[in-house]
Amino acid sequence: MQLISKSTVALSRRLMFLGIALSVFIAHQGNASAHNGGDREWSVQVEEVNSGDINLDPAFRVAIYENLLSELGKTNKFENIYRSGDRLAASTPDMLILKINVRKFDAGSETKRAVTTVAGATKLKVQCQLETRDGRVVSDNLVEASVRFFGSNMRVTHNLAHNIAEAIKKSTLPQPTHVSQDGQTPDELSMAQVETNR
Amino acid sequence: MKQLNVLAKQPRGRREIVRVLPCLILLLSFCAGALAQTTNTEEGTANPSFPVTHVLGLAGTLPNTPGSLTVKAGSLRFENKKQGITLLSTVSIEAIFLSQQDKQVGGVPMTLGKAAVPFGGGRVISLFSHKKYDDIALIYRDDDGGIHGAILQLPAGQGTKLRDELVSQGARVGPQWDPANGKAAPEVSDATN
Repeated sequence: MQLISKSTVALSRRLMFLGIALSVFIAHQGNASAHNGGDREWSVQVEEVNSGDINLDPAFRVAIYENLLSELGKTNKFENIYRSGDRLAASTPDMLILKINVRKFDAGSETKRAVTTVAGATKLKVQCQLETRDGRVVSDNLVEASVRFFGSNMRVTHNLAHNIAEAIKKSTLPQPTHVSQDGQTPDELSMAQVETNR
Repeated sequence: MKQLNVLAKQPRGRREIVRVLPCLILLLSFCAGALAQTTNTEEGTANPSFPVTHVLGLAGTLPNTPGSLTVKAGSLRFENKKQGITLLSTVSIEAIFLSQQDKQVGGVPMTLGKAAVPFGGGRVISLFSHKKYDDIALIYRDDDGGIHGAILQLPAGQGTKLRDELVSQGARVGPQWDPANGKAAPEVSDATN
């Protein structure tokens, strides 16, 4: 009798631990899906970096663009990431357009940094806007990056891309409304189809 | 008969030299002609190879990969021993930007070494341990029309040559960047400009 009762107690304990572990796991999964799932359906198209009147070396523009695409991919925030001009983006619903406008650039100098430590920092400041296809801004951030001690001037583009991706990751995006390229929601589309059928 | 007698009077070694010398001169002139011809052929058809560092952007190649670059048969060919060959059609290149960067040489080991030098001696080394490079930024489109950018770093002075090679193979130069005011200058129609 005693043996049976001992094994029953051990089994019930194990079951209890298993139950707790399972509930913790389920809760964690639920949290994760709630955190990512809301924005997961958006896709993004990254427009070319616009330097405006700022004297920015084209190599830096190219580096920002390429690094940004790479960093955005790491966030897992978007369903698909498209480059500017990609024909596949036209048929994708729930598309956001990411626009990068350069606001400030200090070229700095790697040699100055190495010699003086305090001078020669390379700094970059941009405004990044996420817009829907109909031009509604859903996220607007001013992002800065700099190289102060070690590394080449070009490293600022990597730091900036990382900071932009972090800012976008933290921002809360609205639920997609399935707006097509001509700016119609599914309800509007179906109404239009009904009217054309008539 | 007199000539034969003269030859006969000369010592044997000297006679040999006199006989061999015209043959040598003739042979040398043929060799020079052949060499000149070979050089011309190479200049006409050979594609110069550029030692480059792929900074970023070429599909299928890791960033900061050193390698060699050739432009031939309408494609840019980047070759690295470990990562293989990457090809990019020169016709897909929409813009080429040339700029110059000044970088410290030696990378992380050199930086650590300089930091270890006492009494700030590393700073003095930094004054002399920098080198100029040409940066070439390429903007090209993939098959779906998506825009891509790639940056290649070459020894100073090689950038213009590479740009000319690319243009001769069908790449477009696009509006040029003016470092003085940062505005785009008019498109360069001829690569030699």
